[in-house]
Amino acid sequence: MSDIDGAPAPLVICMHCGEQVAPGGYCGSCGGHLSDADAQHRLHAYAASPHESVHRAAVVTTLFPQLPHRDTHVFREVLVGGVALVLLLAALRLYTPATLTAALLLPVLYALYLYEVEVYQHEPVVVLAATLALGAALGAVYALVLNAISTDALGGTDRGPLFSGVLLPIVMQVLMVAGPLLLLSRSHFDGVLDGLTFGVAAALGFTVAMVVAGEWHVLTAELRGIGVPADSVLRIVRAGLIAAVVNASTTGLITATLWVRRHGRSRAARPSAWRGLEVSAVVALLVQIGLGLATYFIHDLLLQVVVWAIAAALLLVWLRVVLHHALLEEGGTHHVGPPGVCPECHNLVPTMLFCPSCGVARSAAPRHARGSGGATGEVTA
Amino acid sequence: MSAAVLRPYPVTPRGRAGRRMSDRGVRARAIAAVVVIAGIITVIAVLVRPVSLPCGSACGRPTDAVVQPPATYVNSAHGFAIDYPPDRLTIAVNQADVVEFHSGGGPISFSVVQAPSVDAAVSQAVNGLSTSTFQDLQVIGPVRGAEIGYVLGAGTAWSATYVPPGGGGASPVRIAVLAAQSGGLMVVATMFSSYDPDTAHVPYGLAADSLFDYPISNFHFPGSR
Repeated sequence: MSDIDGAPAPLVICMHCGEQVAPGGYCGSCGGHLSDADAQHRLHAYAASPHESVHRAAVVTTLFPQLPHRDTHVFREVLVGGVALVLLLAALRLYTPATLTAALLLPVLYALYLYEVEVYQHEPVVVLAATLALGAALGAVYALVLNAISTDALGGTDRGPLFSGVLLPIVMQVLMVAGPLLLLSRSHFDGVLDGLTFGVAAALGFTVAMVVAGEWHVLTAELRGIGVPADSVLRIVRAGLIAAVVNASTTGLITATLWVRRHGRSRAARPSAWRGLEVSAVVALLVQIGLGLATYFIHDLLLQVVVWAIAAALLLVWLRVVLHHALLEEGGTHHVGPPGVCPECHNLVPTMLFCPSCGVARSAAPRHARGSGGATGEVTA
Repeated sequence: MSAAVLRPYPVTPRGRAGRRMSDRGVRARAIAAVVVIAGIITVIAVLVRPVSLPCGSACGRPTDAVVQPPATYVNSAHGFAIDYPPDRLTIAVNQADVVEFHSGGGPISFSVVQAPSVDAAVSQAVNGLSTSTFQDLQVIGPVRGAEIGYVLGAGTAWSATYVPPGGGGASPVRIAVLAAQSGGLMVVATMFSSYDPDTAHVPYGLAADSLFDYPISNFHFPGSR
């Protein structure tokens, strides 16, 4: 092992995986807590952002997991500022700018995230086309069909809860997953976070197109609307913000577990079934169907928004749990590599699958900050 | 073990090394992107904004004239009857207290209610509207000369954004709620249809107003035929 501060650094044996690893708070091989025999899964320290608990409904560190800690604050600031701006605009009855800001906020932030962490590697056009662009195109087509159904409903043709609450959400979810499937066979996009990112990007593209097409009557109306601000705020927040988080989470959940299944990066001898592709797909579809039925049957707009917000929060936590365990299990053969700066805690540490100091998964670092880590954080001695 | 575990590693300065964008760059790009894309969409929306042009002498003959002999719905529970054009309206809901007709322009329902006055009946019906389906509900004003079956009553017209229960495109609609009482029977008529901005010819902007007129005018309270 390399010498960092002039003194030879003895390796220690991890009580969880039995590997010889560099000393520190966390095992560089399995990510478990080195000084706590009960903390192999370290649920207090999310593998992509160890300063946060796994069981936390955080949008930025869940949907933007490869952002280093030092960068999350500015994305969070823009997100919170954007939401405040949406509320302000809607309260002033400026519904067109409020709707557009709500619809564009997360997709724009995600495009900046893709650029910052270089998920797309050397294929930005291909990745953006298969995710954001294709998602938006499919979302526009879906919205046009929905608008036709809406016209029918106005004519008194009620399609019923099975159609509106069950079939449509399933179709929507399948369409959101379609784009990322085009990237599934590319061997250099083999990490669980690659799958997550492509799924989230496609879902955000899909959602923004749906919102713009669905709220077209608002966008073509006078700048200052005449509606009730409270209703409009609720509608815009649900359609533009909460629905975006829900769609991104369900789609990211499916694509992340699909990537784990397809690329076989898990080191677990028996991967847990409840964190696998089948259960994740069922959870995602159940959430979409549940919200579809809730939207159909709940006639109070405020209650509807509350239900959507609770579902979004629970979904984020579920997604974090799946990602956390997938990151702990992901990787290749353990090696202790040369010293490198951890992009999360900025300590100069031996390069391993996990930072021995803060415990962040190397594969959760931006592409350019991984050093010799490779696509999923594998290191070579 | 614990000494080794607690071994600290040297910390490097937290500069901008390795970052592709500064904090200011993220903020500026986010704001610029939202403003530019929103501006482009707004320009497109303004360019395709629908405008209402009077047809003047080019107007064709009215297309909503009833050409088939009317059918009659009879409510055996309360004894009222409604004549309606079967080629334009179909019965979608038929219950003891409610009958609902569907049309190509929007639905209209007649409900038997218990209320101390026609005004209270209208209020009850409006309060019963789904706030998730009819958002931004705002009163336009009273319906002048509101009547059901030529029995004078009360009514209000409302504007709203219609969002179908299963989701989908929202659209502006107009709603009219009328109530009238005769022979101890209180009836509320609730109807909505898409918004027609040509309010000079379409009362309250209710696009299917002419469709709704027929069953409202041809409502027969018990004993009135």
